Amino acid sequence: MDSNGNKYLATNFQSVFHTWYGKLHRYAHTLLKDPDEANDAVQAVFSRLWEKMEELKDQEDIGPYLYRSVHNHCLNHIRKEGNGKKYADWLARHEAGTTGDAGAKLAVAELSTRIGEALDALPPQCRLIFTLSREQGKKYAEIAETLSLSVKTVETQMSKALRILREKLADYIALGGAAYLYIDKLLS
Amino acid sequence: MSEQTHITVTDELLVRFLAGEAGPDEAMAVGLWLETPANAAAFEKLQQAWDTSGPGRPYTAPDVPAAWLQWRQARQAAKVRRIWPQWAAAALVLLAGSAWFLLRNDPAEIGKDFVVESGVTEKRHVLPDGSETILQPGAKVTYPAPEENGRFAELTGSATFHAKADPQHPFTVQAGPLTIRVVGTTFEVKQYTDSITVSVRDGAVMAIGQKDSLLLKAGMRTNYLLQEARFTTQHSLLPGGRPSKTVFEFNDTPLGEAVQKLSDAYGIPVLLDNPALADCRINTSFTDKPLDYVLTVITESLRLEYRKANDTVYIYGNACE
Repeated sequence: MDSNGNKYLATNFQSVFHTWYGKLHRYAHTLLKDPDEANDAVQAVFSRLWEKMEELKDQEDIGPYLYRSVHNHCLNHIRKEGNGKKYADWLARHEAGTTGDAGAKLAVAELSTRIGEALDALPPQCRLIFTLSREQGKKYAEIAETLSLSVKTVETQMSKALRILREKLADYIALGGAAYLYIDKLLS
Repeated sequence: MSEQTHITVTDELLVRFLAGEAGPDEAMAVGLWLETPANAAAFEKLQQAWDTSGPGRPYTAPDVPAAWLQWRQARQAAKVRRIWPQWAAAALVLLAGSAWFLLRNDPAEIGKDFVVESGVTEKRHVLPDGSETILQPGAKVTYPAPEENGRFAELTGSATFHAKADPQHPFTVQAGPLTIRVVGTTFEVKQYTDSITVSVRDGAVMAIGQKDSLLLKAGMRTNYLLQEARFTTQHSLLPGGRPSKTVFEFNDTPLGEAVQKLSDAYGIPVLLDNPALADCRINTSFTDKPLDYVLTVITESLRLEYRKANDTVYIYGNACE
């Protein structure tokens, strides 16, 4: 960036938006687990950038600033709104299966079975760690404390779990996230 | 650029990223890593396994142009409430011609972006920074209020731009999904239903698509395919710049017809000052000659003269006997 960081930004705002939007949205999605909420978050971050442009230091790189803003914005959002509902919905979906039409029920049942089988293939500790993180939304640090493990171990086990799941669910995924999106739509 | 600590992207980091555990620096490293298509393809499988196996709605890539429009609309709505009196004076100084007219006619426009439309004829308009645009019929240019210090314009339809040189602050034109960044140059944008062409007369522009970008120098032209969101691999030279293969055979051809052919081939309007000149006849042929050469031969053989003004050639003189 040139020495006139703010002026550069004012002139190139649209280009900055186009360069970073997709990447920031991907990051926001990992925090919020919802593409629409991720969009709202990134929109808000750019509005704030527009308003606070003058406060940016001239030499400041825009990328790290934007990533920090998305991080803070999403964590605030979670603190206020909570992510709990998403996890509750997931459990309800897998336990009930009583709503929706027959096709949807069948699809949900099929998916549940497949995921169940894939999870059963994991070693016990690996499986426990993965479900705590993925299904209950526990942070790595919380899991490590609950199970008296190091965060590093949690990290390794998580990576191992996902590697196995990727293999076990490969053919299902190959059918397309489309099938999953379809189910998601039927249930929303 | 700041000295960032180098972050290696490992499987563990990717899973931590998916789990929402990555910090901003790590997320940025992942974002950078994903720019490589092979990495993105590998990551997609991991992401799908992750999305399938637990709560939340699966990842879908955002529509960035739509997001930009949404953002702009939200900003305009916020801005109307904010401004008006203090910069009405500034606008008076900075704006000339039709923009001022527009401002006077419609006070509701104040605080919003400026919009200039060409109507049924082409229209020339001076932007706040002194850059000029010639809008083709039915074209529209939208640009921010001068107080925003921006040098960018959004184009609907087709237009020629003559951007004022200012290397520190590149001029940017947004044409649909295509971003064209300019450093003092003359170029033309034509928008069709399925593609956009950008032709550069002088200087250089950077055309930025959704997936890739392209540097175009004087005399070059490119075609951007909207559906596929990519540039055609062929970047033809403009006939006006360095004609690749321009052949003319004139046998007792009326001058009116000949200038039409020249206009089409070189991409520059060639006009007859005196309509009676259209009936003059010419007999000559040209192969791969610059426009100036062709014009000189034609005008001298008919005892006429030509001059160039504003990227238009005018041929003048007395009617032929």
